[in-house]
Amino acid sequence: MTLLDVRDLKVHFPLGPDATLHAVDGVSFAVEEGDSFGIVGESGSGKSTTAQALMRLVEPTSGSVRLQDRDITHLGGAELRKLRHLLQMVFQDPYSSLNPRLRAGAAVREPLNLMNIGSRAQRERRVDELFAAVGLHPDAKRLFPHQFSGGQRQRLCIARAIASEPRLVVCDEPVSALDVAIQAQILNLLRRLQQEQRLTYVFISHDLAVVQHICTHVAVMYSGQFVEKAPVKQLFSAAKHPYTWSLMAAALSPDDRRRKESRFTVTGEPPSPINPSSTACRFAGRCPFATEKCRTERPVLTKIGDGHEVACHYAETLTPPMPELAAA
Amino acid sequence: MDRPVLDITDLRVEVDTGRAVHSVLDGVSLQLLAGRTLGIVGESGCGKSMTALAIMGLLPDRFRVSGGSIRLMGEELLQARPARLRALRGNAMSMIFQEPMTSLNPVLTIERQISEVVQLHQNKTAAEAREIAREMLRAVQIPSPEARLAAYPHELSGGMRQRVMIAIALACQPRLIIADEPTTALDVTVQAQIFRLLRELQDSTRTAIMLITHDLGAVAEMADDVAVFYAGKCVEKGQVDAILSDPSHPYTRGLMTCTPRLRLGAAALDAEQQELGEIPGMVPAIGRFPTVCRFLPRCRMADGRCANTEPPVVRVASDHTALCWKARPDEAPEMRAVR
Repeated sequence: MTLLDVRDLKVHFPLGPDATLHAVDGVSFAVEEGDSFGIVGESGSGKSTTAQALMRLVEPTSGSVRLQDRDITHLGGAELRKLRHLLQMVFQDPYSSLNPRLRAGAAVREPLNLMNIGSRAQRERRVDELFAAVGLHPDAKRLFPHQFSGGQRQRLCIARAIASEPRLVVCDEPVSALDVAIQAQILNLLRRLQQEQRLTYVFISHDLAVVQHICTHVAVMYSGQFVEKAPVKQLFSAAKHPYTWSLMAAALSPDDRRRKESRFTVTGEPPSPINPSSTACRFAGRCPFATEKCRTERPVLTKIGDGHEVACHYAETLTPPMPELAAA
Repeated sequence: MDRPVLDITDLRVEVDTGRAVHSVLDGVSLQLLAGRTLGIVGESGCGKSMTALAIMGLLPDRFRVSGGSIRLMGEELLQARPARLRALRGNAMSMIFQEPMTSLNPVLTIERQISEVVQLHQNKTAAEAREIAREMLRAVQIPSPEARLAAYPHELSGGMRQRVMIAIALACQPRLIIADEPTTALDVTVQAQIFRLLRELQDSTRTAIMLITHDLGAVAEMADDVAVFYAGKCVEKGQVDAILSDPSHPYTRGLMTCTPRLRLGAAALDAEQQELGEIPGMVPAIGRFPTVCRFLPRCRMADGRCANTEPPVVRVASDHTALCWKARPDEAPEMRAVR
């Protein structure tokens, strides 16, 4: 069953009479119940704004967001609040997303209070369950956020997010602020919770290895748009977009000490999101394969295989500059 | 073999909290050779940055070096007077920090910030310094360097700012560069550019680089030698291939298993996603380091001996040592213990 259906979502911020920042510029995707949909891209690509628009934390400029067949794009305060228990979010920075003056137990209980879920005693029991589910000691309920480490705080944020038994959890870079050993603990926790509670994730990250580890479907975002979208195995075995290649080539692995000289790198940096070109491929300025066509005609996301879509004029003809992908 | 550019022996650093004195670094010994990169890895709070600050003579208030020696080209830095350290910093040794925005002066132009260090250390005229600044911007591959000289830091992107930081660090052709998480704030494609740049510059200048990072991928990409830090001790060191393909210390092994790997091409198709390895618990805070083996509470291999007797420095191969009773469990420990 399709849980989340996003169509042509745009989030534009007016900056002045003739300048508009196109943070999200027409993205569409659907997420099946129980799947994890990953969005990868570099800073400024619009990943977080997409997440916030799904949560209705920023107003979409156009397009639609449907959750369980209900259009939530324009729901008002009271109606939206009634649906809040279904969609929850885990933020990147567990330091600034917890109220420093609220004890841990109260922080996790707060959504239950706000959404009027259960009796007082039931809420208390639910908090205990949640602490156990995320691997925190029940005694920790009495502590304040500053008494926890970063990893424990992120566990608290996850407990709070799943308190109301949501169907959809939007995770915005949930492990980026954490050390690698703690990151592994949190990723394992997120996967275990997904299996136990049949959660659906939208998972935002800049780290391809993390996304490959946790997601079932992946979209690669660049300058407010998806340039490639595919089931996870398809994407990592047969990526077709030069930008995806550049991300893959730039990802460093402790097992790989051979590529030093031959690594495929692109030059330059992403274009400005203010009044971006509508007649050219936005990656053309950095793409080593770009031709005149790329600079005059904008490629659209086109289906090239089972669930695999690419926005590149030459998706079918280019040879990947990386041996692993070329062989596949 | 060449004399090392930097030779650290048995370095100890303490912090005095007013109530108690706690160990921050304990018995750290490292060597850096010209033209080589030493990667320092470990989680936050393990003492990586403190080592860098101790070398530069920039330890924060209440922290002090309580023992050991730090020699730069044979010169003992711990005995050096402040004026001598000032003459060395930015000149013979320089540092690249993690956050390029906060380590550049927002009210000075790029030109002023690069030429300042040259004028200060190398007795150049303003015109000569300006010429060097222009050359440095070209060397770090900043497009249209002429125009960038007059720019202020806020007018540059994060990647460009980090290039400017590198230009400043390299302006006096130092023998040693300490790069403390230089790409952590940058995107991966920009990180790839910065790493390539650092390697090219090192090839031409033979500068020794100490790269502090939490990312084993960055170590694989950049380092020739590796030192793994845990809770203020260097628990394993050796050449990069030995450390990454055959780690001996349980902490290094743990770090390897909890790093998610990108699998491309055919490898992405087989192998279902597996659980990542975990190191239980977390790095203890300063002042709460366990006595005897500091990794013991998180170690799955620990036994009674680990709790009672200081772990030995075990030579697992030539140039590869680990501070652990369990390094190479197949051999008798007495045979390998060297101190």
